Amino acid sequence: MSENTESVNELDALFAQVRDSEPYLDSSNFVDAVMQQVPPKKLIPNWVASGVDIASALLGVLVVMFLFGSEGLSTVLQWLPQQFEISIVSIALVSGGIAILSFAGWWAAENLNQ
Amino acid sequence: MNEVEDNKLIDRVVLLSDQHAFSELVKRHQSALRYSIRQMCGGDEALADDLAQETFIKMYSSLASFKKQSKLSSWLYSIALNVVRQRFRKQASSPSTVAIDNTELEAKPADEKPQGAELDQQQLHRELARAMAKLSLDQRTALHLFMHKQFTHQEIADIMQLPLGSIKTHINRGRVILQQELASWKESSL
Repeated sequence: MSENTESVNELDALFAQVRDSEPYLDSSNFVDAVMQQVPPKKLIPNWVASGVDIASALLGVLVVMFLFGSEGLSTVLQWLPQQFEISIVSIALVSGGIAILSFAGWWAAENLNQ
Repeated sequence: MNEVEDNKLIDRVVLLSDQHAFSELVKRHQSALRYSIRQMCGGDEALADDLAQETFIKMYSSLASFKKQSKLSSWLYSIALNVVRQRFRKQASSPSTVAIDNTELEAKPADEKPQGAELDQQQLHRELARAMAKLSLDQRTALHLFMHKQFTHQEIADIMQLPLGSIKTHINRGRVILQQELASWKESSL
């Protein structure tokens, strides 16, 4: 009985030793070999991407017409600035706006899916 | 292993087909998985790496079906075990017998066996893998996942898709055979 217990303890000790000394196997060649076999990324064809852009634009036009009635488009167009003044301040404002929007998009993608 | 980080990488692979994220996943899990498959294959490193590659490719193609309630490592082990089982089924007439190079194990003279405290770590891992090769694949896998990876019986049952009772039996029988192996090491070192 005690002999059996002793060998059980030895087995536990052996596995503990093996567990503590498990080697880290170098990843570089192995990862490369795996990645070479991974099927290539499926790119969206250009005509699909263009189709999505055009469909989005048409949808936008329809929404505007629905919200503002038959003269909606001309009303919205009147809101657009007729002329632009390029200055350091306007460039800084536009760049800052784009940077803030990009950061917000990146932050949302990183954090909102947890 | 950080599961939150794993889940982020999985989302990138699934939603964006981000191959860089997948290579990060492979990097994070490759060492542990390759080591475990080596244990399942009785220490045959080339075969184990081949099977580990196959495991990761299968993982890539079915990553969208991974349910995040379980650990990625558990899911990975279940894929690996299926890959190993398929390979052994192809190779051997007896499915649960290892089709590895056992001749080296059997032909190894007693004076080359590890000598008690003189075992260096590397040799210890190889010798354990060789000793484990005497067990059936299911015994070996269950014992490795329980004793080395410290999964619970239930987790092992889920990974191996076997009833809980069978897992306990595999572990107990595996222990008995390994104890006999241990005894023979001790005798040869006297």
